[in-house]
Amino acid sequence: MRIAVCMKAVVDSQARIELDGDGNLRQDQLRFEVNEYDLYAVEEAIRLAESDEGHVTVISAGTADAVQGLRKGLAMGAADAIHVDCDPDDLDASGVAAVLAAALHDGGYDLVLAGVESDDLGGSQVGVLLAEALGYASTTLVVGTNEPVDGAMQVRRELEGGEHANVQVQFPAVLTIQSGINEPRYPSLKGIMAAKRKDLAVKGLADLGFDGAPARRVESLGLTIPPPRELARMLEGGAEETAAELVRILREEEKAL
Amino acid sequence: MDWKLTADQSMIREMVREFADAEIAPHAAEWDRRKEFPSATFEQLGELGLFGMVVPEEWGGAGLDGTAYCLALEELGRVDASTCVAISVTNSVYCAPVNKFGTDAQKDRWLRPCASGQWLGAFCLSEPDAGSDAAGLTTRAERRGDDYVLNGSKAWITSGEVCGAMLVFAVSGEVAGKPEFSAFIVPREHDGVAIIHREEKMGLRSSCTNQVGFEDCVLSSDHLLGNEGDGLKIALDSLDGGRAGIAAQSVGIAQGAFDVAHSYLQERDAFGGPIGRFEGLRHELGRMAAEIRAGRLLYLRAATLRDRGLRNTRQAAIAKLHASEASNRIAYQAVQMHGGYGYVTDYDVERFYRDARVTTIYEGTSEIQRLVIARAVLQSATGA
Ligand SMILES: Cc1cc2nc3c(=O)[nH]c(=O)nc-3n(C[C@H](O)[C@H](O)[C@H](O)COP(=O)(O)OP(=O)(O)OC[C@H]3O[C@@H](n4cnc5c(N)ncnc54)[C@H](O)[C@@H]3O)c2cc1C
Repeated sequence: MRIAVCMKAVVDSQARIELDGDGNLRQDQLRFEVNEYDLYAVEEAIRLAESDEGHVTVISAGTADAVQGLRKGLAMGAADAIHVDCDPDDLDASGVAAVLAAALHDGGYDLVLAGVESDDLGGSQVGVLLAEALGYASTTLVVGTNEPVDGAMQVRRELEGGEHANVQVQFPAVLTIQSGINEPRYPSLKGIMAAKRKDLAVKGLADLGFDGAPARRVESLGLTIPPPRELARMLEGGAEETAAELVRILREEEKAL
Repeated sequence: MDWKLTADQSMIREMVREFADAEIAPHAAEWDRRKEFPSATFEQLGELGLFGMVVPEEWGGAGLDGTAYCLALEELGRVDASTCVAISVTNSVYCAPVNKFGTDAQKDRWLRPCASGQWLGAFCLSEPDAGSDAAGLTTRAERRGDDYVLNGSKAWITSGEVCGAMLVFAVSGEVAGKPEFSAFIVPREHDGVAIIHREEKMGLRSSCTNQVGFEDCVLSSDHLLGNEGDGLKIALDSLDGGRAGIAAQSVGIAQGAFDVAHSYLQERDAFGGPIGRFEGLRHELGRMAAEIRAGRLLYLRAATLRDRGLRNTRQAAIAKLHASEASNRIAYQAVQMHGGYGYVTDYDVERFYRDARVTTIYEGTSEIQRLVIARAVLQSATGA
């Protein structure tokens, strides 16, 4: 089985997010890490490949910040990596899907795994649009996989409210992986040292047949930080004091009791 | 000198940091309270390759350089000095000498399983009556036919009761009226080896520190590491590697203490606001940060020299002396900043304070480091 896993460098959740006067992110404060959902996808791919002598390729479209994540994927056990070198700010979700599809389409993959969403932008689009661009089947919110049988696989999807649905998907397919499907491994020291001997191919957009970045059809206009809400009120003191104060507020001020 | 870490070194530090924060930090206080050696966590550490980090891959190790190794120790020391010391011992003073001085057959038998994470190694130099004065050790290895017979007792052996094998130093003869020392690889499960006692300690309480006895312990000659008479050379060389590691551990403890103190200064209010606004405490925080950074640069320097195949006796001793003394000052001050809360076991800072204490004692006391440094400085044309 040949599996590709899409990985994205996202803004480190611990990093300070600040906007400049024009509503743009101040880049100087940012640090990047691998999108957490993608680590579940890498782990799932490696497990599937391990039981089947398969081959896992990790792929990321982005600036040099993407390389760190790819190296982590290689250290966890992927066999090789593709870095599509581009500025993701030039692309919308369908543009990202288009460049990933161009890099993957002749790879003969049975499965392409991606995280359900990215920790930073949370659009949940790239996996599905990638399936469309490749002409693959797709299923989302996957929380369990099974051994493939006759070019198809049964997977478990998470439904609203925590229920599960079992579905069968034909290969080739794109699955978007939900967190909690597995416990991603720590890369071993040997894995880290072996990663640098593995093939990490760098491809520019021109190598993939694009004449510049595919035009954005969804344009980001700017970011805003919501104004702090005035409604919350913190009561200070011990349990007895705060309970008494809470009852007083509910009775006298809010007239709720 | 280029201080930028390589991609591998950063990634290794990152991995150990993540592991330490997720798998060790949440339990370290409990292990300490129960004096429990966390075997399951060590199994994981072994699988990840932390028992023989600098051992080449052909012998089951990860083939790291000493710099990456020290960075890993700092990350472990930052959350749990007990875990860190067992990792330091198995790497610096068991695997490293067996790798450097062992034959292929010895490495296959006694290095590969350790480096690939099956068991920990231990180092038996100190004795009840010989610590700083290691040449005063009295454990004897007598020749009997082709074998050696070991008799004597060793003190303060880190991981004694949980190791798979230990490197044991003993008097194997006399040359010109002076004792001659040799090093032996001794499996723990070997006739004549007994774990006599586990010490009750002020700190490092989840690490096992044992007295180990040898009584008519018969070893075939393939247990001899290097040549007869190489013992002291092997011990001193191991300690040069070990000391950079203990410096890194000390910096880790200091960083752990610094981090909790730093947050506490923002959280704790007195006289109408957070105590971090008091200049007296800010001065201390600045001093702590400077001492930590200096310690880190010193151990990186010592490790880098050794990575380049250069002798680093003086630099390792300087790194160990500074970092261990500084970690005690920093842990002391971090407790002070916590006031009464620093003195109770509910807060990690109390454990950091107890754990820091040993760093100026083992792998050569501060007094011995000063002697080593002074000797090197007096011999060298360039001085300090
Ligand atoms: C938790 C722990 C773990 C340890 N793990 C190991 C281990 O795994 N393997 C191992 O072999 N050992 C281990 N040790 C032993 C440790 O290395 C020794 O305790 C240390 O070397 C000091 O020896 P000592 O205790 O005999 O003190 P001594 O040598 O008796 O020293 C007593 C005091 O005299 C000072 N002193 C001695 N000589 C001089 C001098 N020439 N000039 C000035 N001052 C001097 C010392 O600095 C010290 O202050 C461990 C110790 C501890 C506490």
